[in-house]
Amino acid sequence: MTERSFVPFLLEMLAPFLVWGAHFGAVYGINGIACARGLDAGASGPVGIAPASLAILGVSAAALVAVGWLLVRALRRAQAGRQHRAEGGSPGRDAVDFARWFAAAGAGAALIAVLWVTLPVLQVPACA
Amino acid sequence: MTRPQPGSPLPSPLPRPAEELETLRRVWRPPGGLAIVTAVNNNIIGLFYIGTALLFFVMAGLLALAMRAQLAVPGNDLLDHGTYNQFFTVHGTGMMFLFAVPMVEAIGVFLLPAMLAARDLPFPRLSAFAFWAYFFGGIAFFCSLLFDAAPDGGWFMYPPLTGARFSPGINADFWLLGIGFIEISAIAGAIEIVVGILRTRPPGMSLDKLPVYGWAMLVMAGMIIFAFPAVIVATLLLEVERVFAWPFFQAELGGDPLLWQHLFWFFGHPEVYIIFLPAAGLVSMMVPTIAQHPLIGHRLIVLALVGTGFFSFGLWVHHMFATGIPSLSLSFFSAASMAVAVPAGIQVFSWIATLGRGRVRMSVPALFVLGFLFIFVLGGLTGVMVAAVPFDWQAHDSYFVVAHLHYVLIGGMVFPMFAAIYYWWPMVNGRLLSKRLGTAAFWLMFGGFNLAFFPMHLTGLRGMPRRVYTYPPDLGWDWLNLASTVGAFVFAAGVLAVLADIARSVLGHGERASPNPWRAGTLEWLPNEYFATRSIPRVSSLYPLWDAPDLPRQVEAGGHFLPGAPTRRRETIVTSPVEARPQYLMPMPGPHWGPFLAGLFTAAHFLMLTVQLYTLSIVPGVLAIAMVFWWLWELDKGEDFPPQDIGGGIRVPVYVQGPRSHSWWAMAVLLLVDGTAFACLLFTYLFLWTVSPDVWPAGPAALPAIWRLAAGLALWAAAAGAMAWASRALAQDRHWRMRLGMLLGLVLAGAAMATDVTAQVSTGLRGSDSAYGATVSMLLAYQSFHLAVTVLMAGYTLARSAAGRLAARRRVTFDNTMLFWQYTCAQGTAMLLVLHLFPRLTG
Ligand code: HEM
Ligand SMILES: [Cu+2]
Repeated sequence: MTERSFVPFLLEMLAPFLVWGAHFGAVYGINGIACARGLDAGASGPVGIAPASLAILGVSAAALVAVGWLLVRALRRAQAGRQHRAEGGSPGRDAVDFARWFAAAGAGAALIAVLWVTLPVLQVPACA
Repeated sequence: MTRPQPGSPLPSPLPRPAEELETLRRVWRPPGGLAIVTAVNNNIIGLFYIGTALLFFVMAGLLALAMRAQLAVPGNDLLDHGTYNQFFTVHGTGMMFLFAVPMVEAIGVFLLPAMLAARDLPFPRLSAFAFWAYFFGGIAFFCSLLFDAAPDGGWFMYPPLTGARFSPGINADFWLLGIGFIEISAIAGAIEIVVGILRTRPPGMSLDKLPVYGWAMLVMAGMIIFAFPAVIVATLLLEVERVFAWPFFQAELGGDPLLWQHLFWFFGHPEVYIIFLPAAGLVSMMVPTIAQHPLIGHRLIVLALVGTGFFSFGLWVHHMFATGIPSLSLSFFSAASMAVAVPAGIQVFSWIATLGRGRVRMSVPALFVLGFLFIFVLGGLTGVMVAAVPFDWQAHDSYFVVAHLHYVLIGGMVFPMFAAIYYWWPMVNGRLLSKRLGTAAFWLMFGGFNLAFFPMHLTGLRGMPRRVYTYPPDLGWDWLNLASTVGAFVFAAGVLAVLADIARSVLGHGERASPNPWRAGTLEWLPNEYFATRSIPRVSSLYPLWDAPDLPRQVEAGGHFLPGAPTRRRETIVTSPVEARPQYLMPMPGPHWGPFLAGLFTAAHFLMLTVQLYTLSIVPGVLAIAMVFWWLWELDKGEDFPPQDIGGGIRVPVYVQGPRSHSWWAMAVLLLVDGTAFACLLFTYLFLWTVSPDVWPAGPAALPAIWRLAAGLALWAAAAGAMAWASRALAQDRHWRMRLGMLLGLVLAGAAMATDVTAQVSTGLRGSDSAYGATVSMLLAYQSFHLAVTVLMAGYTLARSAAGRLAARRRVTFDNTMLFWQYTCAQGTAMLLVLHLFPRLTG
């Protein structure tokens, strides 16, 4: 039996958190530059959202899709793993089961975290 | 590997030949007498490290007592304001950088190998060097107080206050150079810990069976890797601004003091968790023993640790709520700050659940753990309060914050540390510390702490600012301050009681402990000596000592892996990172003067820089490098061993090269650190461009000609290619071709660097002109530094080659150099692209 290689293993576990980090960096960066360059003018639409904030919402949507996909994938894999074991599959897969559980739970946490960080966009003026 | 069945034969048949144990004892015997400073074994270095951190805790604590004495009554004149400023700066800095972080690493150095049943951490001499550099550096830092030369700008050293204009003299330099270089020790420790946890676990301890403490230390080390470069870059920039007047933080020339705050807190907030997570990991080890019940929610706790590690990088701006950052940006950080309370809550509930489910036996560690829970939860609650922006605007820079930060730091780290000292002390000298003294110490500390710090919430809400050396009467602050002072002294009495208890035990008093006095379930309670456990156990659960009661006897009799020292040198088993299958036998270095002397000379070098003996400082600098090469040279003595039998029918090689070797892993981790530092410089570039586009070149006319970019890119690529060619030559054992390739590559890299520098100089750019000039110059300087390191490493590699110690099947040295070399070329390329193209795209 071959050893699982480490880097893909780690990336699978951490992917949801990495997406969260990228999302956080992006929304902060967009807002920071927009406010420094005075791009918050021209609020439009019924909720009065500035173009920069629209961009932020776009980034958030993309992050949610990515984390959601990771969640579905991790759940499927965890399911497959359970089945595999129920059918008397090979032992010694504890680390793999652990990683799958971890990836699914992490994706759930990251999903909520992305939503939670995005929420203020709808409530707080971008720069002021 | 399949799961071992109960009753399956032991990896090594019993009984063992007597000669094995003798060899183990002989090769691992620590040096005696004065030569103890040459020891590198984690049992010894770990204790030195813990002892030194405790010493700095006491010294920083004495400063706190002096401050509290000064604040006991209004209008006091025990300390004047200048002294007070130095005291709170050295207290805060000492506690954070010289006590808390080193202490959590020190406990890891001492405890981790035992918990993983490894014979030592993978790079013992690196640990020893890191310790000595920290030891000498820390002493020098505290001594600056004696010469009225201590830094006085607060532990976060904000410019412009700490810039050359408002802080002339060398006080600030003591912070920037002194603390800056000690951070290098922290990074060395982190590399050691990552590679140790991932590669020296006992066979069978796949990642899901790694104890929570291992996870906590892994996350902590990961955070050090990504957080510390930010503060190192920040200190570098400020020191360079002070010495060469490159205006990174001066608004008149396009700099921005907020840049410091961003870099500092990008490190500073994770720092809090770097301190807290290991402590939480210790608690997660003690709670199951105290309750005699497995930790409830083990997986959730691991998730919480990793989640905290990530989220804590999204919090740094909460220290900057009052700086005028756009409100939506603040809201992102406010949200993340509140969210990070969730993983902390998960851990707290899981500890409480475990304690509730099990049968708690009261003991000194149990008391300190309960005290920790109480105090830390209160600190967490005030943390959520200050995470709310409007509340923070009221409480900012008041004693409310002083109360909050001590509740989390003392509650979250100091109490668990004392619990750990009482709990693991039997590992030090086989004795238990006194229950009576320990209980007294706990109540003194718990009562004293709350008496000292609870009133500070109120003084803060009543408007008392932090960092004031005195205050007028009749503001309603008098009796609160008096109570705080009394409490501080009561707390100190508790610390004294612990020190007395330790002294008693060291002098040979106190109850002898049985091998597993608390009836714990993890491997550090296996019987052990200087070489750790007699044999390295096969592990198949999270609490091996609970699940296999016969394990200690089997291990001690030598029935598991590596019951002797087959190569007659120090060695340990390296296992695969995920499933912990044995991969090879790693020879380990023994005692040596190199690490001690290198640490001493490194500290001397930086001390001389601080007191501006620039030329003289070259001497210890060169000596330090020489010492490192001296200790490295003998690591690989060039002996060839055939694969060895380690038990269980497993035969593993003794020398491994390429991506599987531990040294490749260490280099990879180091490059992550390096890449993060480079990213911080790029952030500096982008940040200053965002605030001051006017000092950036307006268009191509003000930039170097584009052919200079092309030339630079081509030269870096050629340098990388030459090294790749040399690598292929080595693989074929064509030594002259390899040497030629390396020399050619060095020439090309030198030409690349010269091209890059002349390109910028050709536009008349100077570092002191503007923030733009400063940033560009800094990037070039950083790249030159990498080139210098590459030259040193290449020189060492060529020397190995000349000595006949390099071959196709013995190329670890070469590979290390190659990794760093190729990274340097990649970094040079990235730098060029940014410097030439970014202003063209935005100008
Ligand atoms: C022996 C118990 C301690 C006492 C009585 C104490 C007391 C104090 C006092 C009086 C100040 C200065 C407040 C001001 O003027 O603004 C202070 C600041 C501080 N303390 Fe402590 N402290 C203790 C332990 C600790 C520990 C264990 C840590 C960290 C692990 C710590 C970290 C800090 C920090 C970071 C500051 C801020 C320094 C600054 O403003 O730059 N303290 N402490
Ligand atoms: Cu913080």
